Amino acid sequence: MSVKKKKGLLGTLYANRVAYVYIAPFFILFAVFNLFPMIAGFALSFFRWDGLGPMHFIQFDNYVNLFQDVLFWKALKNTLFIGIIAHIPILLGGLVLAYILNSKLVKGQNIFKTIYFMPMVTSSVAISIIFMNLFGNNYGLINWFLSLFGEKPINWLGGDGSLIKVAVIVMFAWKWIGWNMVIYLAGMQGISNDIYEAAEIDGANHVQIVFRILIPLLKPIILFTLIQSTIGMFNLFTEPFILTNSSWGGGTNNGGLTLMIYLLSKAPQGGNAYGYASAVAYIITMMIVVISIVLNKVTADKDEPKKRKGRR
Amino acid sequence: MKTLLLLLIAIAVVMVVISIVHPIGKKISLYVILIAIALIMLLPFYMMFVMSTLKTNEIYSFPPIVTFGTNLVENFKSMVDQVNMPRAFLNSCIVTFSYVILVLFFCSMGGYAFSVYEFPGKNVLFAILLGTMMIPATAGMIPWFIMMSRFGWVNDFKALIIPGCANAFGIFWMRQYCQNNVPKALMEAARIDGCSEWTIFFRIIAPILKPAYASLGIMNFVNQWNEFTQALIILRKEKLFTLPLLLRSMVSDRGTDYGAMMLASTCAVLPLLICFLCASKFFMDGLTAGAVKE
Amino acid sequence: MKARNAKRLLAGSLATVMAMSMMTGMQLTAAADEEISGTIEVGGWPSGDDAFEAALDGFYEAYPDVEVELVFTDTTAHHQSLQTALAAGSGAPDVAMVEGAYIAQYRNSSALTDLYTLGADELKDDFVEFKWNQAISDDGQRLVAIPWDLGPTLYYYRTDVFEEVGLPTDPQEVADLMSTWDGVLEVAEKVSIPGERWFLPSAAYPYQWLFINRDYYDEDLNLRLERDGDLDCLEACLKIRENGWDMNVDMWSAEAYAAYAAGTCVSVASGSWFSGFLKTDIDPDGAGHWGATVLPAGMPATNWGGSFLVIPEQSENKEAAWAFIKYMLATTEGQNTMFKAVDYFPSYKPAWDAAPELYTDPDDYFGGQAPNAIATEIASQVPVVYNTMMDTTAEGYLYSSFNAGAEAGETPEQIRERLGNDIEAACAELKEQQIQTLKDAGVWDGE
Repeated sequence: MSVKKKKGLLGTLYANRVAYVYIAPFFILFAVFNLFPMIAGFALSFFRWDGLGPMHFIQFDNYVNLFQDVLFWKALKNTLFIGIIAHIPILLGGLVLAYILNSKLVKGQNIFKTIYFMPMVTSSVAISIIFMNLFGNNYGLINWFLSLFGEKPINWLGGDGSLIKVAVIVMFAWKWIGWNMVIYLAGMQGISNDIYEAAEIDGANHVQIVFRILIPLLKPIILFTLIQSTIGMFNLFTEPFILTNSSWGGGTNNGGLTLMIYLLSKAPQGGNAYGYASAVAYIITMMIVVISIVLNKVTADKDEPKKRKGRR
Repeated sequence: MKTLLLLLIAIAVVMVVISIVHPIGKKISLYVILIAIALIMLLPFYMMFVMSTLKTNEIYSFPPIVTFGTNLVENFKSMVDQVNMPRAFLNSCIVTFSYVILVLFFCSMGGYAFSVYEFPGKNVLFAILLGTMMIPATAGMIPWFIMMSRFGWVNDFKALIIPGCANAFGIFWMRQYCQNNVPKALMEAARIDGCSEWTIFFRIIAPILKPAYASLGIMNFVNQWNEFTQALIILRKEKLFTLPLLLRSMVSDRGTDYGAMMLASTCAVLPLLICFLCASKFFMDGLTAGAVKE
Repeated sequence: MKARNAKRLLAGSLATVMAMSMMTGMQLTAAADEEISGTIEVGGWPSGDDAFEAALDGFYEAYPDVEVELVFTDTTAHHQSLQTALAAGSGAPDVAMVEGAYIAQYRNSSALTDLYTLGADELKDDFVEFKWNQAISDDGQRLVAIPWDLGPTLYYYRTDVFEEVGLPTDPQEVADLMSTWDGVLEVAEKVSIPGERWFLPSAAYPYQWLFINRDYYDEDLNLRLERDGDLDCLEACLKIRENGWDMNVDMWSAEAYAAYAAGTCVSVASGSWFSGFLKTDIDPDGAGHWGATVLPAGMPATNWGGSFLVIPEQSENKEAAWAFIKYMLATTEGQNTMFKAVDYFPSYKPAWDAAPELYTDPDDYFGGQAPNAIATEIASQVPVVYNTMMDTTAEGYLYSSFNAGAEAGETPEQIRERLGNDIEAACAELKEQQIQTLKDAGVWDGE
């Protein structure tokens, strides 16, 4: 659409000035408010600094120490465990709910959609306190419910620490299932009803429709939610932190220690090892980037490569 | 555990059986599942409302009280005594509304440009933009704060509004929507009529983007309304507190009046919920309309 | 390395001698000073604000031209924003509270004003020694904070429950009864009804009481977990846990707080500032059914927390900030007014003598007992200890490592070993940082 008269760089810039002006705010704000701090943070990861005294250049020590820290590995394991288990209900549940609500099987779709999305609207501070009550040891609603069936109370947030993950997973799934449902719904609206009808005429049942037709068609959207969930998983902080009564170690046996708690326990919230914390932040960033690339590859490989260019 | 598991399995079996036996049974099973999930989703909200009518010692009693109590007035008094709720509400509104308006403005412009214009460097720039979405902001927290204090933005809402107001996610979202919904023919027609690019965007394109504005607006509204980490280090004066800070300030080592705190949480969330419920159809349409397509 | 503490003490006393020779007398009540003016921002956490509000009238009388603005939030948030503001070089209040557990990480900081330069040395002898020492930098050259309050560790118990089960309620008798672990276990058994009423919030706490001075590391930064009677203590803790005599929750959790008020958690130990917590927040209707005495099983006198005031180097009105600190912390009037308001036990010794009735008179809330008299006694016995940046992290593991060990059925020795490993792992980076700080101060001769 823009007429290309080769007039050198300035000419090109001028010819496309509208586009550049439109996208400029993002790049300017990003450079000033994100890029600069991030570069500074990267530099910081090679220093030992308590934020109060002089800075000391220590080369790669922070990274070396990080990989030698058992807590880092525990945190990584916990994060992956919570993230992967929680995403079964979040992804699958979100997909199934979206499918049910998108089909004409039930009435009152909007009411259900609204209710499922409601957890997104709340602040995690308040809701964490409520979940802490639900999972409470001596006065908790869940333990009371179990006692109705003659069960002994379960020390969800204490014990040997392994059940903290269950509580975190429940809370995490509770919050995000509706979000994923909405995103899938958005994707499903783009799929014409004829496809379902044709499949039904061919005698396909709902399970087949979901797995054979819906999931392949929704692949880009599922990929999008997967990447978003990966980021969410690595950022998991408030829920486990409040559930373990603000413990920087993540509770008994570090059962609720996630990478983000580990990071913030070093700085700026739980400690003041700024250099070390910056190194952790960069390792987390690297992991997110790598996982995103892998996810992209995995889903792209199954597509026929030549089709990709031709897509709208 | 056994009794409970058996019960659940029994329910599941019954549901499977009736759905095979008769189509009505299938419908009933679906409703049972949907309603059960809805109840689970609503339970924490219900508990929040219940707790806001209880005394703290009633909240921590066994068996737990699950019906509304009589302490609402007392809790209200205690809340008013502890915090300035209207002020925090106003602060939250100022921060959130100005943020959302700027987000919608900049992101729709950016997304639109990435969608309809061809210009050198477009793909590289878009890839960079996508890449930035994957970087956790925590990496630069301290330098970021140093910058804010150099700008004199500590204790200033600007620090919460400006830095993120043209965000990558918003541009990405808007681009997806423009990709599918902006009729190029209409733009061409407008160009022939002599409209400038600005006019085309504001007069012709912006109205088309309404559903995407709604969805992006809601998402950013919710995020900003609940923003805590940045607000915590920026807003240090009580009169500037936003709602999440106000809630946090009610939790104290000395002992927290949980009844009052839950009432405050209710006050913080209820207006949002009411708006959300009243306009649920509009919201849902808005959200689902912003289809993410590659 | 032992020389370091000596060096600090020496530097401190030299300064005192110099100050003494220059001084003609100590001015306890300030006359109205109109030279100092301006607005200062004071930051901290509740109930510091209530304390300052109570004493502000007196301050304004002495300094009519100073305006004080209180900026208060919860303890964790306060320290975080203070830390961030100090690192950033701006945005900090003119006067900030610092909790005892955090003082070790600030004590060598150049981001805080050296209060010696403002004449702090003249105040040294008026403050409790172990507390004052915590604020001196490792090279002995600087003093960054003035101690506000102490937290002599008291054992709080529900007298109504003790009476109900036929136990004595008088502090001395309770202390005698519980002077051995057998006695403690006897009490635990009597007061507990499994599933309904518990002796303690968590069985981990008696073990934690051994470390509550936060002297986890020695001056060579070796972790020293061996204490007199620590294995006996762990043995008793395990028995409490096995019998279900503890709630198995954090003592600061909402569940525990509700149980203190309801009388379903019968006892807990804490710094004497906990009296104020009980009176105003945890159990305001509980007058007459709480008692307080010394720690059981012959544990040594300890101090639990208590805060300091600092002036960030970036403050633009240090004069007024210093006037504020001096009035609040180094006058009997300021300290005692605040003590009355929020039970922050003064570390300023003249305050104790100026209003003896505050410390010895029976306290109605405690059924006519006088916990503050016991606290005063304890305060004079607390030894000078060495604190490090690792202390708060280490403290967190006393609770969680004990729970993990108890859950795994370990012996006391195994639990102690587990604790050592957990602390070393969690504190690795902090220790590096601490060593670096000591190197910077020129007092590290290891490695």
